[in-house]
Amino acid sequence: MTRFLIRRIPSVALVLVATSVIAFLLPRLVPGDPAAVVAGPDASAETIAAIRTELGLDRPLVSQYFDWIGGLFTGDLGQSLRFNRPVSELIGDRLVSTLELALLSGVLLIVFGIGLGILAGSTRSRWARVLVEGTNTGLLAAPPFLVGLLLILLFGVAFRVLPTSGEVAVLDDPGIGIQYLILPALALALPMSAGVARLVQTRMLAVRQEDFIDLAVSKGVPPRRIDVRHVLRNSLGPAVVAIGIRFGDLLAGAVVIEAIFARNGLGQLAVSGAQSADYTVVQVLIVGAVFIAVIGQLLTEVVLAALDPRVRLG
Amino acid sequence: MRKSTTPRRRQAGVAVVALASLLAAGCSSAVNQAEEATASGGSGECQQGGTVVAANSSAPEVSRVFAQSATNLLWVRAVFEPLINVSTAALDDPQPALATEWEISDDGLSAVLQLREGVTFHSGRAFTADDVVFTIQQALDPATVSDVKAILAGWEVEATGEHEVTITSATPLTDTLASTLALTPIVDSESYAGLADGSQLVGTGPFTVESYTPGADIVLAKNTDYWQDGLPYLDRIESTTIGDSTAQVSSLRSGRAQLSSGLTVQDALSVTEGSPQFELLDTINGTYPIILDAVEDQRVRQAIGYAIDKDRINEQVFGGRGTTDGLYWAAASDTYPEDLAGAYDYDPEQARQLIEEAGAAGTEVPITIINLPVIAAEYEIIANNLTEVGLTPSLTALAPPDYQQRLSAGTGGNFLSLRGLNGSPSFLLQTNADLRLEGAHRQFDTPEYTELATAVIEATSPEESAEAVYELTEYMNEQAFLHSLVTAPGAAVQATDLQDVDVVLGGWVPAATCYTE
Amino acid sequence: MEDTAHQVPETGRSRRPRGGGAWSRYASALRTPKGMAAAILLVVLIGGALLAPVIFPGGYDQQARGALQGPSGAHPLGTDEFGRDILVRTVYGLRTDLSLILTAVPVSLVIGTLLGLAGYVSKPLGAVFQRVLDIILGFPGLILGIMIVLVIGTGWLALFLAIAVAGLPGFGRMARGGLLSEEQREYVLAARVLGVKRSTIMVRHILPNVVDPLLVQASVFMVIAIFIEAGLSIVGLGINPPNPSLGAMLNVGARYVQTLPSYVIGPGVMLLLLALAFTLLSDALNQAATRR
Repeated sequence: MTRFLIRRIPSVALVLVATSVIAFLLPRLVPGDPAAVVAGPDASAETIAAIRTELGLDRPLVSQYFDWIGGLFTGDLGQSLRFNRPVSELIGDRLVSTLELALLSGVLLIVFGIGLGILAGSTRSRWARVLVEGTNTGLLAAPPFLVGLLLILLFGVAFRVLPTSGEVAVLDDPGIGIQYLILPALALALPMSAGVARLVQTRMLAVRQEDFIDLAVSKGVPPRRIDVRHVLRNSLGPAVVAIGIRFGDLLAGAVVIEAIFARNGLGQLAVSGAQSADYTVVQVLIVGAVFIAVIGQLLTEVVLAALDPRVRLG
Repeated sequence: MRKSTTPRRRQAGVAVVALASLLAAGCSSAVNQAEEATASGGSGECQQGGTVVAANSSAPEVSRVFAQSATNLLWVRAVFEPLINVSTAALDDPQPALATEWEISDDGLSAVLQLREGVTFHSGRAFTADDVVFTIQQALDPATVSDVKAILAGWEVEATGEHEVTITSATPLTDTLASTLALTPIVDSESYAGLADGSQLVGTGPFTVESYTPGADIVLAKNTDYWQDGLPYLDRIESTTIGDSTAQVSSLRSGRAQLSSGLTVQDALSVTEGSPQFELLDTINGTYPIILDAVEDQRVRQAIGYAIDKDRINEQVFGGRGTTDGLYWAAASDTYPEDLAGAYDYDPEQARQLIEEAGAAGTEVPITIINLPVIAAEYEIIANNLTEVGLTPSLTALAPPDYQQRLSAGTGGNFLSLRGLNGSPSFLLQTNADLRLEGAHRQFDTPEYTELATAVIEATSPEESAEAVYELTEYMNEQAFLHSLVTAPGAAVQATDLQDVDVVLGGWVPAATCYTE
Repeated sequence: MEDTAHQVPETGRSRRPRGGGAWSRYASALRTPKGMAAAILLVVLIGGALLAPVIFPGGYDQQARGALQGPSGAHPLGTDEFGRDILVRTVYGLRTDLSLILTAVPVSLVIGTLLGLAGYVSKPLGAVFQRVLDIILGFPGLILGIMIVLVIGTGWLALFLAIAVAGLPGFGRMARGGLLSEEQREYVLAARVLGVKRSTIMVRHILPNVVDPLLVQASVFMVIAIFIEAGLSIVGLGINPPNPSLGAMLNVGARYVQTLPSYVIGPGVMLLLLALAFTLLSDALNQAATRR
């Protein structure tokens, strides 16, 4: 495994370097001027020019890029153009919020995804299967924000048992914090879980066709035992991959969910950063997200190899 | 089958039970907690204490305390106070704040202000005339964002006593002093450097800054040493950012927020209509004009004025809360030329005729807007109206960095804008980016306009000033280089059990705001 | 992106080279209950969208004074904030959504597949493209879409590009995965030993075997494309007004959910139906692909 990881270092590094260039250039390709945002809607061209100089935006791009990269290696992520604060601080303030959401959604994703998948893949009753499949198809077709909207309507207006707006850090107050988390996490996890369930189900059906199952059946192993010991164990691989890939999504892809549940997480920071040309914030978030995705991919390959002896790390 | 109950399954069972009990009874409910934080209904006596959660659609921008910014509406006047307070609903009735009285000389070119004694900054330091001098110096710095820089630039400010300031000015102060000072809150010289990044936010206001999370929220705590005895009533203000309008509406409905700003009027109305818990709150009056820099033909510019159904915009975008007099001036100002209002009332026939005369049928009218719901809604009606009279509107919707850069560079073409009506015509002609003579976003510029506008700025007596405004307005109507479409107050929502939510230029002054029993 | 929520089930294990019969297989997919439902739904939705100008010749921007009226005979779903018929706008919104996804997804499919198969022509090139796709895949949430819209400027083209680019990694990986596994198969090796031209191997043997999963992925990505449109509309970067789209309508309608629920229900149901149609289609295609 170590050899595998070492072999991947050059390609990972290449991806990260390329990402940093893209992350640096892409926001700057957007027409507009961050200084104009800082200066506000009534500002004259002179004020904007003065602010540009103050923000260091009039320096050559190349030197801005290398300053940024140089900073990254010393742990300095740069300064937000809009808030005049270290980017690390802005991210730090929101990291916990996003992590909490991602973790709980991750748990729900696993519970619902694998649960629904097993149900669909192992039930032998036709009607139960139709029901589970129907639920699954419905969830696949439902966008997370629609699910979120529905939950807000249900819990914000009809049954007011869970808060639909805002957040309290779980670390500050676990009991209250988790209540704030439940609805957004559900909205995020439910539609995603359908995809995972689908995978588990397909794999279970496929595994059931394999020779070693036939062998087990002919040996007289009870069906339940076959399901758990043989089918399930051999079916979870792809689900693990999917969840692994999706955990990164959960972490970063909660943009819309954060918006409608009024959570101040990284997604919101990224969106508002992109819309207000806060280059220094956006570039760090992009590089960070790609970095996490790359690491996630590596880990998934490792886990997969551990689960299935036939997969060899190459 | 029974024996296949694996340890794993048991663990899952335990987790489910734990989660269920947590929800059921194990701990307190977040919903109840949020509701308990606010004192409940009724009317009458002011209560001491309480927390207000104030939600704004845009994040605080601490470096812009010298600008009236919607982003700072719900916290900045709680921390930083100006010398004079002005409300947009009563522009000619300025109220003393850190200055107790002021006198303007007969020629209008100088003013003497007496400052309040016994005022201290949050740091404990006493407020004196030197702080006024310092504040105005800072506002004039090229990189400082100030709405009134153009006026301040013509001032000499001198501390003529420990609590007396004398201002001399190149242009008359008569119509400009109050608004200019109202938009220049006093900052603390010792901690000024910390204002740029918000690490130190020290003013004299009724609340001190407890914590600031850039891009998210500002938490304020009661200033126990506030100069007004017995104030403020509230213990805490949490000024938080909720960008999404759906989320903002649900923050109110769910009882989390008691004050909310930056939602569209329609959203605000959807919360307040038929609700005993919420009511609308007017904030700062603004005007929503269309500037026609890319329409050469004067007749077509006039036609566009007739073509736009301003009343429908008022009704459908602003919930009928605005006015559609077609004038860029605040009706609350002394010199408002009432006779000239309504020159471009909706008249599509007239518009078609003018377009025909100009041979402009089918002409493309590109319009640049900032990508905000209200402005986009306004555009929808304008586009529909222009199509109706035979023009071809097209849209460029821009994010703030692009929109603001293009406008300041003068490359916006025709654009929709939104500006505060923060003072007299004289004040607007010096500060407002659509109107001002130097550094304007508007590109229309003629010697006549400069001359007429200068006459307004230099007028000293009320009569002189009213006459100059009348002449300038006539000229603007005739040239039709811009049309004020709607003048409307900013929309906010407040809980009905909150009392005295006062809003002045700059934002909400929470000193007297309280919950009622 | 949040879209990877949907993933294409992997294709069957046992693969054999095969000739034609693809069309009959797809036809049989449409004869299953799911396939039938998908086909009917799609015919109705696409037909309705195509005929919109005939059914509602007045267009989608007939403004009037009566804003936000409840459902009535004249306006079955009521009127929006500018007095326009919500049903009419929902149908035209569907038209916008379909015009986006039915063009952007195929473009994404073709380009993504080419990027994925590039490894067949040149190994280093394939690796480079693979890394490019990795980067796109790693972009946080809707951010790539948002950046594209901001660079291009809001409007149809920006949404088209946002969708097309977002789909590249999915198609690219699928194609490359197919290529890698097929290349190792005995029949491909055998063909190579027999001196069959590389291009012939590609066209005759490899391509047909990656087409199935790619088609399934395409119909899955249709759903994601609908969500991307809606997501960008939610953050205010959707289609330009006065054009309607389902996402843009939902974004505005959500605010009137208590006073005028039909404003959300109309476009919401339409969006669900559209997404459902493609979900069912992908299921049916997938079943057909794995069954053989």
